[in-house]
Amino acid sequence: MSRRTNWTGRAYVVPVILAVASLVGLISALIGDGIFNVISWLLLGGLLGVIAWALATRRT
Amino acid sequence: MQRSTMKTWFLVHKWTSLVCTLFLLLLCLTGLPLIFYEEINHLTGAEPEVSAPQPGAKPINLDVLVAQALAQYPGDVPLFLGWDDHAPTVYVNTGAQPDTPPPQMHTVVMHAYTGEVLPVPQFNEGVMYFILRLHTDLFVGLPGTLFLGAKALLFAAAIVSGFVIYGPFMRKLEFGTVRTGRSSRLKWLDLHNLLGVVTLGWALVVGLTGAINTLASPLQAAWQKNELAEFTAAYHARPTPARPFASIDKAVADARAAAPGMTPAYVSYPGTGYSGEHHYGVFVHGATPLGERLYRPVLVDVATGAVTATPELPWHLKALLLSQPLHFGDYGGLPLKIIWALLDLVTIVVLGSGLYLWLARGRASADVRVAEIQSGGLPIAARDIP
Repeated sequence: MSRRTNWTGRAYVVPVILAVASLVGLISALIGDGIFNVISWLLLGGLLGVIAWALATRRT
Repeated sequence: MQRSTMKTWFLVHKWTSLVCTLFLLLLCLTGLPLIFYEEINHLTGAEPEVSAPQPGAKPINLDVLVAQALAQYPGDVPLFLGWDDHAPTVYVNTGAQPDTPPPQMHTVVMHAYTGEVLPVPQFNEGVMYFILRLHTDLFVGLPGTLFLGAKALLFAAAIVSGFVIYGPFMRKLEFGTVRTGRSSRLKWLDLHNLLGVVTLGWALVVGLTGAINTLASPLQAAWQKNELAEFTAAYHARPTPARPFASIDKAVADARAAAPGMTPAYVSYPGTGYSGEHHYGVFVHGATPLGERLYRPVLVDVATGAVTATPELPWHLKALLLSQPLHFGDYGGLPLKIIWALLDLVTIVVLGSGLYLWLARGRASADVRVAEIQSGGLPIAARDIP
């Protein structure tokens, strides 16, 4: 992201995407087994990946 | 956002967090082993490895199993009987009174096909039960449960208010920025924001479903008193049925026939608070991941052995049943449990860092913090406040 703006909403773009992904992941394993479980693991496990990525690359 | 509005959100975040943090830390710490309840029980022998039934073997008559359980605890009455989803075993809960609460229950676990009594520790003893009580009612029953439910609601309010002040604070910073080079407070503030916002959706769902779960026994009691009473209205004037009751083996067989495609999960005896004073409640469930959560009682008259009704659970009890897996994390295999545990650990860091930020706040007033949020995350000294 090279273009910096002071629009407050921009800070929410990534968190909202993550929240929606979390909800899809949470509901997915509830709907079915097999592939639905895998989707759930990927989406919720992805949250941990995002944290690891941020800690590895976004430290200043 | 107006400075005054921002200050309100900041104060909401601060106080809702402070009021619930210590209890939330307790809930996160005790919740961690509870995620692996089943696995730990296997390791400790609380869920024994059981030999598979011989091909063609028939399950032992349930009346025999109940009699066998009662022989272990003379003077007790049967309360519940149920099947293990993963092993050919039947458990029978007994107690001195029909309404004996779980802490005083006795349990006998038997092989469903041989009738052998299995050497299993009582569910209401030991470390895991201690942890469960800490997590669910602080050893004081319903008031403790409702108290923890209120803390869970405050936690949800803290998450929402944290989300509101996150945006203005982060508007000049890239997502995920953690400024480690400056003060320790700034580093932990950035970490608190990052970890909190990434786990927001998960934490909100686990917190709110936890709060919903605390209403389980009041909702169950209300259902029994109101809706269930309609089905058993004709029994209202009758005296408490005399023992021995009609065959439970036949009751279960009839319930199976009355609810095709469903399997019995457990049976409640009259007086336990699950099926009125005159009925067995044979709770059947489906086989799909959703259907397996949605229990449905088949009411069997304990005097005549006839099926009285198969009431549909009301929507709020269905919602409750469906919210349970979302709180426990036990519905997507071991990988999901491990992810659940890691997210729980992240939440502990969020709670701990939040507490640290409050303890390390120094003499800065709320106005300084609000200015910091509104500046877009730049540390502010008190003198910079306009």
